[in-house]
Amino acid sequence: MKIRKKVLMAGIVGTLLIVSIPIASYASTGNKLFKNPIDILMGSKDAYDKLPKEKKDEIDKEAKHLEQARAGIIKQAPKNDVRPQKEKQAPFDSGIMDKEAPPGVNDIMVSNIWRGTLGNQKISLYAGVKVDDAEQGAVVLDIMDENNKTIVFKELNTPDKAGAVKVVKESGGVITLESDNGVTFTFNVNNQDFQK
Amino acid sequence: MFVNQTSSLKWLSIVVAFMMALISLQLSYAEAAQPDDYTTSYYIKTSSTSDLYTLGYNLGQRDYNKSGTQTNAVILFFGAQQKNASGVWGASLWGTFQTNAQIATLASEFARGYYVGTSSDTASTTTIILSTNNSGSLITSEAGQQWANMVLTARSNASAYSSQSIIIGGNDMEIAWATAAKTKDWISGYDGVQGRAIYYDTGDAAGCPTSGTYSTSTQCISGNTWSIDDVHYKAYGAPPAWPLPQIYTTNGSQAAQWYRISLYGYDYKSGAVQVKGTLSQYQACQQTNSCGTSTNNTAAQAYNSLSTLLNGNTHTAQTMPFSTDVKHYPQW
Repeated sequence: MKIRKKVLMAGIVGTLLIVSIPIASYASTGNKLFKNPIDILMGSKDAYDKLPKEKKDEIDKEAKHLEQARAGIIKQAPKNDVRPQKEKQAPFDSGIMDKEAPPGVNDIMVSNIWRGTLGNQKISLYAGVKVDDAEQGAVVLDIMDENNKTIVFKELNTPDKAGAVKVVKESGGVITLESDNGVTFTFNVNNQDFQK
Repeated sequence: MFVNQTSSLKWLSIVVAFMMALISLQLSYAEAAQPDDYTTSYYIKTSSTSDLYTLGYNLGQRDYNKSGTQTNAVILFFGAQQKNASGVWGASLWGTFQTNAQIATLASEFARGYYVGTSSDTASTTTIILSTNNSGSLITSEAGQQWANMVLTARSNASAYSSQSIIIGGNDMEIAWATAAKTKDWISGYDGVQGRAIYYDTGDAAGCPTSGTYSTSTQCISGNTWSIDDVHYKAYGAPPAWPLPQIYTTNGSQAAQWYRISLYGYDYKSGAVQVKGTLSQYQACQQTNSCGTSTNNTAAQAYNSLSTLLNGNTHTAQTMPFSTDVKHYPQW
């Protein structure tokens, strides 16, 4: 009889412990359960187990940051919804700039860029060549409003195949481009097209 | 006495069974969330901290309102690295140059927005990938160091929100934009920074094999400087590197390339490449109307196409944790 009581008591205490820990955790996390940092970083323990040691070490370091923050070793802020003041956009670049790929465009190799403001529009004209055709020059026109919202985004080929083009001059939205083969093209930002 | 012991054992087995059921219920709940839902990543063209806070807040609210613990990843693309007239490092934001200090502030505001947006949900977590690219003129070891330090500054700024966000580096490394040697210089600089974060390669594997046999010296594009070994290195072989590749093409070619890069790891390196997830550009294509139908995979199509290939081979089988789809911000 005594043994049964002891077993029952142990069972009840064990069950209470198992139930209370997740319930406390569940309540403190907005009714959600913490996931293991390794699972967050790798998707699963199984994926982690397949890693070579040097990759495991990288994940361990990242997981440690998260564990420290959760444990309060790195102090966490209260969740106050204090929004930053809405600021004006930083000044827009102007002039002929170094090469850079336009956002989301990977079929053109850019030689250089003209950037400037016309009225309240911020304009970037990326000049270069198609990746899959070294003879086909191309440009990307990206026009944003004063809040940096893109209002025009278009890719155009040069009227003739004359190799890669680059910007050499701009005046009042009329942009002069020269190709590798020495051909000159004129692009009019106002018309959003090459001038015939 | 014998009857009592038998009865005790019965009770004990009932209690143990109940406890086991509770434990298994907890485990299944904790492991339920997989990338059934994608996040939106952004080409950041705004210098407004308010905008970044709002983007983070909106994701936090989304996670708060979803049942179960959410874990996801967001890429913030900041354009190519540049230096201003005073020689201060930063990135272009495609025309609105911001210094590294300003970018770190933008990133930490995103983290703060997410942290606040999740409200009473203190368990959901987002990984914030601060990505530059290798399309500019400054693809050097110093540039890599600068980016690694910028990421650490962002982490430090956002430490008070770090129980729910993991800030790491990123680089959209594309085969056509810079040589393998220059890109490796950048990686070397990044890797050399004390205490640096990991980075995700958010780039491509253009021209790499989609079928057939290959070796360590297989070139991805004939006459190009990139071998499949170089692509493996930038995405996984380098110590801080993990791949979250572009899977844009609707014909499955990019999924096939990355499957083969994972398999290359199994065949020639220390194991199959563990891929972090997939990047699609469906929303950006909708915005610009300039992709056509060949590179506008949805997030689900991108994820499923790579996942199917990886899991069709026991050597590369894996569950990728993340799925994300990029758009331009501010949007029009």
